[in-house]
Amino acid sequence: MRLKNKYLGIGILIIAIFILFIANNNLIIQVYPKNSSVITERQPTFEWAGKADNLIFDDNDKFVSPVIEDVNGNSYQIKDKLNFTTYYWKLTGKKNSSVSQFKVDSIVALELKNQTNLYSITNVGTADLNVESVEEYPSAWKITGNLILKLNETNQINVKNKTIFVGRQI
Amino acid sequence: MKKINRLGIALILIILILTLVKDVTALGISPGRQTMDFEPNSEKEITLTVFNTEHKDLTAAIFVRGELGDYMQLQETQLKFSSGDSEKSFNYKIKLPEKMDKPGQHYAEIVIREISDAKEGNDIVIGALVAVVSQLEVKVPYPGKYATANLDVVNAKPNEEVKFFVRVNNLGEENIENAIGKITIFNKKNKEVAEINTNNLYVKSKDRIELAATWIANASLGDYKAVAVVNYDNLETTTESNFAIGDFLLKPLDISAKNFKLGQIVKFNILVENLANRELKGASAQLLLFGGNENQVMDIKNTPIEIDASSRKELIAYWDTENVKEGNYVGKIILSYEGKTAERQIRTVVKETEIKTEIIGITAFAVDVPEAESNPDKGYILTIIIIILVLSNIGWLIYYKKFRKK
Repeated sequence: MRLKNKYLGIGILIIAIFILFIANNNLIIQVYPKNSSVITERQPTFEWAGKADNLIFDDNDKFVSPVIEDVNGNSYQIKDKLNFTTYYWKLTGKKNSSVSQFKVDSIVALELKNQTNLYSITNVGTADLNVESVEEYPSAWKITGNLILKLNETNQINVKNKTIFVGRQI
Repeated sequence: MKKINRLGIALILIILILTLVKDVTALGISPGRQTMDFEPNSEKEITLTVFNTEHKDLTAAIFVRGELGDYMQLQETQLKFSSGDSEKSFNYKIKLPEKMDKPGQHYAEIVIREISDAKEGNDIVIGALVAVVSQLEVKVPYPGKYATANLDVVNAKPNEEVKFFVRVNNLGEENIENAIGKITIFNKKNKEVAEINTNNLYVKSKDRIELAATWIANASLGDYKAVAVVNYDNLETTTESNFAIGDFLLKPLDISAKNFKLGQIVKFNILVENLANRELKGASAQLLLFGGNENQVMDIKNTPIEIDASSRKELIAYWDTENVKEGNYVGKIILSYEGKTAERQIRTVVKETEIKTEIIGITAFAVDVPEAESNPDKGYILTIIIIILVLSNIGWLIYYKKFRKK
């Protein structure tokens, strides 16, 4: 028990020294999104340790067309949706952070609700979808209709024959 | 009694919805699209994640479609989900051929399709199913030099620096030694407003760069078109983008009322200016006034109208002053058009035979500051009270703990 408490004490001391070190040296450590990670959120909340004045991100590693946001505290949720590509981000303050990168991947997802003969189909993913309604035959799919479903959009369709709704990213 | 009735109706509605909605099914896949450059005989293993968002017992079939389907190998053809599985991942391999003749984009599709329960002897017969697709796009380079371009316009505010970014994608087999863009800005009447040049850059084959240019938007507010012509090693590609200078194009100029008599209906003339180089549709103004205890005494609005480009117009709204008393009132004017709104603070002095309204920051007249406005910020006082309360609680807690220990 005493040994455990000792280790706990040492652990807390190390963390405290680390926090003091960051605070005294104005270092900024990026926490989220992690470097080289893949995320599916299009409006992620960036997180970091240390004091930063600006959050800068761009889909160009040379930061040619950056989005620059004034920040306070240690997190910031961006206002506009990101595209499905690789982003580079950094923080500036008294000292600057390093440059981290992350990739935004899309989710293609459909939800189908059956209300008697009527089906309502909803885009529950993160990208706008082109949805085809197809009838399935052993050798091929016969396309019987098609519609565009924006994010969170629902459409109601009357289905007579057995149909598959196929969603693909636009 | 009324509450019980409402509760009953709500319950009936919920039961009705639950009865009507017989079945919900959902399927997701990530990523929805992957892109790779063509390399002869290259191989790649790709991981996809399938989501069982409804947490149902579900079987999904995996299969491949599209022109590149023959080059793909699936390691699994079915995924079984139990209600506890929210997602599952699987891999597939793509092995590209030695040569692909046709340059441009080539696709393959990995389809995840729900398998009907009916096939497995279940009683539920579903007339429709869902399938989701993850696309694989393979870009085959064009022979020689070939580039495409896209134009982005950022921060189009009046008299500020507007930024133009031209994204150049080198889709050719050869490197581009020098890419430079010329951007021409046109107004709504297709008249040239400005011409600017970007920087120039070298673009490696299969790479992407951004050319940049800036322009001070010393032009009237409204809609514009930018056309970028990118010259790359004596070849050209063109791209264009529409943009608007200014966020809100309607400006309030004056609020007046003639022949005013307290107790009667007053006609307000709200003079506004269309700052844009185009007509604004559905322009309207809403006037709100509040008394001493923030009691609303006025909420009036005109019938929405169209306002011609760069012109002024009076919006008409009526106010019944039957129960209104003499005094100073504060409020706001909310201007709207085409789904956009903006508001400004106003203050109004009502007298027996006179009414004057000031749009704060635009028009002015000498008025006594209403009592409500001369008060310090309520939020500030509230914060101080909360801090005092919190501190006194902490102090009390410390004192209490010490006292108990003794």
